[in-house]
Amino acid sequence: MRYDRRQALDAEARELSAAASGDRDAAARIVDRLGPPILSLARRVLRDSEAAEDVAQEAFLRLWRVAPDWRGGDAMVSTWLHRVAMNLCRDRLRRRRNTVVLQDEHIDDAPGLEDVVHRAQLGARVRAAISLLPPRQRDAIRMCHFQELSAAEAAAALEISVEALESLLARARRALRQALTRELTSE
Amino acid sequence: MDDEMSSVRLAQLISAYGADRRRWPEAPAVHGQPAWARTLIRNEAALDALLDAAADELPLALRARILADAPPRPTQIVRRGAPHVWARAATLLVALGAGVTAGYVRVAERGSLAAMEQNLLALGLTQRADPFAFFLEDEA
Repeated sequence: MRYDRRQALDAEARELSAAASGDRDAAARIVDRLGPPILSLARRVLRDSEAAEDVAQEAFLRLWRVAPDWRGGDAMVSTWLHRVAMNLCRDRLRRRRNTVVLQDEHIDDAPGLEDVVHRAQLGARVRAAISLLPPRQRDAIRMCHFQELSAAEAAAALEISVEALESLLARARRALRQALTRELTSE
Repeated sequence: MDDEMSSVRLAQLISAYGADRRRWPEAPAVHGQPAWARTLIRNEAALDALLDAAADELPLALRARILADAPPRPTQIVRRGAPHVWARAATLLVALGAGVTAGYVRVAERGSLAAMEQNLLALGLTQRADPFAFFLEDEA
């Protein structure tokens, strides 16, 4: 187990070093792996998609800055990035003088293992439900919810009208709600 | 659009795009916030949260912004600087070439002018002591 962690740390450090040297593929792999959970965290804490995206971008900018001199030691890049994102969220909340969210949310420097596992399991279930959707509905949800394309952009990409896109989206969401309700209540 | 149509459109928007208004292509004007709309928004917000938990990719625009901030390739730096260096070198070479060519032409011209002057002198058609004087005057 310890050996696996060491391996994971070394692999992360190598990948970050490659990104620091201008390897775009390595940078893209880091962003694709760590970006979604960081954005999800910021959204959950800030409850503001736009501010959450700013936080995610700023957190990665700080990662790129430290990347050439990365001395992670026993720290995972993901943990470091998570901590930076949390601090950025805190700064924003402080500026908003919104302490309600801080009290409502269980905010820690890093999520507990249980929370991480729970979210990962939940995410996997939702992804599984999405994968069972008809292809056009799945594409519509991916484009509009995850990639955040505008309705016009998504409709153009799917070569359908905006009205047809809305019909696909509504059917997809209805199917997902039914599937997830069934699954999450059957535990 | 009357209020009834706006309500229908509002229901369509929430059902298709979820509770986050930023995802809606438009915001219909509905007076107040009807109870049915609040319920619908609450339900769709819960589904939005589940979808967020499943997010395994970033919005494309955000991904592009983050990658644009990533450290550049060293070759990109060299390439970015290279045209500058080569442009300077090319300018110098062109200038040097032009200078050499001009000098050669001048020498050639002088040679042909000198020969012409000699011919004119031989024919007694010029009294110039210095066969190149007129050329130099023109230059001055």
